[in-house]
Amino acid sequence: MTVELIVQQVINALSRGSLYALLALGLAMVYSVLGLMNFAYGELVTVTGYTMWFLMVRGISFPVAAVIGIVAATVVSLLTELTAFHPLRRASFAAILFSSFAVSVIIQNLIRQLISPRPRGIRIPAALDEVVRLGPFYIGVLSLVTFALSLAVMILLVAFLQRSRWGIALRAAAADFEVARLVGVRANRIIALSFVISGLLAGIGGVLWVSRIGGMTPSMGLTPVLRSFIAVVIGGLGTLRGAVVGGFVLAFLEVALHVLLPSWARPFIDALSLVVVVVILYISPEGLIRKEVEA
Amino acid sequence: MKVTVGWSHRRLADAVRAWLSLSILLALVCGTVPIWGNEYLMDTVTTFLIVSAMVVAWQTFMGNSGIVSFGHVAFFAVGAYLSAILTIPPEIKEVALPSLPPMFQQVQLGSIATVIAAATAGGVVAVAIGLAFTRMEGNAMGIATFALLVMMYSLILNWESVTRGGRGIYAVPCNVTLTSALIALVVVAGVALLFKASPTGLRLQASRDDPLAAQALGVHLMAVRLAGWVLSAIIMAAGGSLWAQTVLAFGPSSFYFRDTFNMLAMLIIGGQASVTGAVAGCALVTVISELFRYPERGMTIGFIQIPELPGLVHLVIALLIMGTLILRPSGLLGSRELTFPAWQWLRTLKKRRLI
Repeated sequence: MTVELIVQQVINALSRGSLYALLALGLAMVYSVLGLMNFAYGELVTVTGYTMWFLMVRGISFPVAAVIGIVAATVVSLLTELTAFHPLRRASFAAILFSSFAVSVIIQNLIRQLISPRPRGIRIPAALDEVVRLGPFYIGVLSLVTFALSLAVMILLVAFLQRSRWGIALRAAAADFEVARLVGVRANRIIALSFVISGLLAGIGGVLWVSRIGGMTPSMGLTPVLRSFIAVVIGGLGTLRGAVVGGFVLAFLEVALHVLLPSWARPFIDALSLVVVVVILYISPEGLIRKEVEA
Repeated sequence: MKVTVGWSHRRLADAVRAWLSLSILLALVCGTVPIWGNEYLMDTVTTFLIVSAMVVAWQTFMGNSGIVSFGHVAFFAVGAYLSAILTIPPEIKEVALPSLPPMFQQVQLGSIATVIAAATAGGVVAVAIGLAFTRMEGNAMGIATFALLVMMYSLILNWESVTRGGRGIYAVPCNVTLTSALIALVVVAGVALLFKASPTGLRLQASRDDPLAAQALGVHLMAVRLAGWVLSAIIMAAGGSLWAQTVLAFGPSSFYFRDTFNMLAMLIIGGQASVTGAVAGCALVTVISELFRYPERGMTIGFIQIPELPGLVHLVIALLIMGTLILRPSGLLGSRELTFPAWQWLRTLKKRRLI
């Protein structure tokens, strides 16, 4: 294998990893505060996609549709919190998990009924499809945009979490919910905030995801939620830093397996990355990066 | 100090009573089915009985251990595919599955041998997976079962030489009748009730209620969880085998989220801690699915035209789950089992020395 090819694949993995990291962050955000592995998270990506389709067939331009799509995902995320998870505050881990499973089915089937069970496509701006030449390497514009946008969003998020009052309250709630409440953090508002941020991240990730595949089906949310889930487990359940690391690890793992495995084994890449998940859960249920425990 | 638990006579008597009550009720219901002479009804009830057996299998693990499992459909798949391979006539296998290992190419087993083979295979797979899974903390195991579901789906979708991948498998001989499905469910319910009342079952329930306290009393957490896991996988695979021999043709999409969701819905709505609840939940969801299947395709009532409503069935079931979780978190029946009051009448009669 030539050096060029390796570099090319690394670029590929970086772009993919930044998208996974972004999406995983949204899933980890809710998990860290509420302890909920939100199955319905993938449906937020679907909502973004269909909102964009709905607007774009009516002649609205891509950037505007994307922004409204992100807003739609955020609103839906907050709505699921208020209707499905808020009434179950005292319920068990299993009950909330089932609830999110049900929410995911509800959103999928609402889309089937309100729009269509058949796939829909949108026209991605031609600029995103182009390829930039950088010395001996070819880089897709979409990959660059994905990487830059994800990085920017993550930096903004870190700034928010580190500097703002709400961000600090959110981190406190993630570290220890009970103690955070004792010092005056309002539980319901913080949980709602975590869903809003989760929705925003899913929306932004969703725009990039849809731009990648160019179309949408009612059940398209499965792949993003699955990838985020794997990334979150690899990175350590519930730590935000871990989710980002996990996203990149997963992308590098996928790309490496894709390059190294013989072609008959490639369809099993998903299964193999899940084997990694099981192994990690077996060795240490907290994942690779442990939650910092302060003495 | 290690606390040993033997068989409790009272629990055993309760289990037998619940089993008899449930069996009689099921037999009565199934007895009336052929009277209608409706083929579709017969098929629906047969499928209901088999799916019930699988939901009861799921209950055996989830209800007693309190650990969520999203992965039981994997054992269902093992049972169904193995049975298909063992029962499809060799001449069809030559065409449909030409690259099957020669060992399986020529075999064609009868119905009962197939179910036993499937159950064994389910058990073996469950032991292998369970050895890793049961060591995890409860919630981590729940998440790992989710990975199991996706892994198994990806395996059957891509292992074309054995499963034909997305094209699906066909020509499984129809070996299951209403009667044999009824017998299967009655046996499965008996096993599940017996397990629930057994010392191992009790230890598993103790570990569900308080893992730490259970361990302190000498319960080997991993051992009891493994026991529940393997037993439920064996029943699940046997159920999958019967299912394959009723639906006759199926593909990987039957072993993924849709069916996981359906069966979990039955269990949650009916009551996770109860065998009767599992059957009742299955009955309820089956009835709802049948009722809403017609409007789903669109229909006309008088002058009102109802448009096609794709996905209506699942929407209704999902709303039902939400309602159950919020209003009645332990399901319709909670941990209660069906017991005909006849037993109590008998006791009062005895007390009064009338018989």
